[in-house]
Amino acid sequence: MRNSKGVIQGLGLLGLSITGALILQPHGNVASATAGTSKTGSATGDSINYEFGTIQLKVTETNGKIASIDLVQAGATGGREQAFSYLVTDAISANGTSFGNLSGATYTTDAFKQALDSAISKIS
Amino acid sequence: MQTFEHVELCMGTGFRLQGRYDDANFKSAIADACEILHEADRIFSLYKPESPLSQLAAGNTSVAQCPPVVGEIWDECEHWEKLTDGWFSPFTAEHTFDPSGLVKTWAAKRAAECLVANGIKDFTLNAGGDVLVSDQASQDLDWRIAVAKPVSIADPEAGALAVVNLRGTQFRAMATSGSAERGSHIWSPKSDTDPAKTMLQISVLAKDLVEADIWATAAFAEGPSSMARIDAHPDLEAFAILADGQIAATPGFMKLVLKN
Repeated sequence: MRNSKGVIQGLGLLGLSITGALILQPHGNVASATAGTSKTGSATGDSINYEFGTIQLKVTETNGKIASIDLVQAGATGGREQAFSYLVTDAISANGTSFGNLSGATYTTDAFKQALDSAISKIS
Repeated sequence: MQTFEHVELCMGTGFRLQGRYDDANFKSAIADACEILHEADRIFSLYKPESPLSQLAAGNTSVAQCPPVVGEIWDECEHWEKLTDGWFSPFTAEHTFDPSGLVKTWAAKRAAECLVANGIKDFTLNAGGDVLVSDQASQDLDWRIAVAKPVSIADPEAGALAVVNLRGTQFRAMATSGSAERGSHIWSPKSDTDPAKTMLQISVLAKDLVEADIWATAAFAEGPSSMARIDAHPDLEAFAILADGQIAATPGFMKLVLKN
């Protein structure tokens, strides 16, 4: 590497524990109340088409809380689907759709919300 | 004081505006800001055959015949080309003028200025992954920006890689360039190497959204040696993931990473 001596590098391999400094943080505020009933069950939402592909989610709720979100379809191309996993994790932690600002991946935010709302609305 | 979140789909991406307002003209302010984005898209889109830029690229018109803003963008691209020592260039290998690397955040910056002028001053703007924090953003979360991991959803580690806290700093923007979102879409104006082969992504912090975006693009095109250039720049910090998965960061960036 030809970096200057001031540049920190080689902190670790991506995906492994990098340093104690790099952590996940909650971010963003709850945008819309998509959950909140006391339903238990699971449903697959509509397939949502957007600029770069298709997204379809299966949501399982237990006593009104989102227990899991599965990607039925994540048809984005070129690795764009990476955003979905982040959004899934975030949605579970907020029990709804909660998005902060993520630099590098936001194309799918809107379609994800539609897909999530659709699935939640179908849980009976 | 009310909260808002608005996602405007434009230029093939999502522009997310979120924040707080107490102005009755909120809806028209958002609409005005979004119109700035769409106007830029109508003029500069190379995906719309009827746009002035498409007509320019096709050789059917000249810059002088285009709306004046095309000349402004041309000049601004040249300005950035000089500042980045040629690593940002609006000219493709086929010598077509393609200012797409500038237009998104150029328009987003103006949209943000429009909001401020209309009394909405407490917000963040996320232009397809390039993030701007307004000077008067009030919430702690507004100032925390996450860097996305450059990995597939199939990776159990997918998500946010690091979160920086910009509160109390000079920085108001983070932009990320890489191959993860749009595939290999950045060409190197000065080398034959595909940038995606040396770097997965790079995130740049700057005072200004356009500045962050341009430097992220230029640094991605240049590759790992750009880190030294950014480190030497007094107003920039960067965080890169190299092709082998190693991380490179300027010390100034690491100081801003949130720790528990």
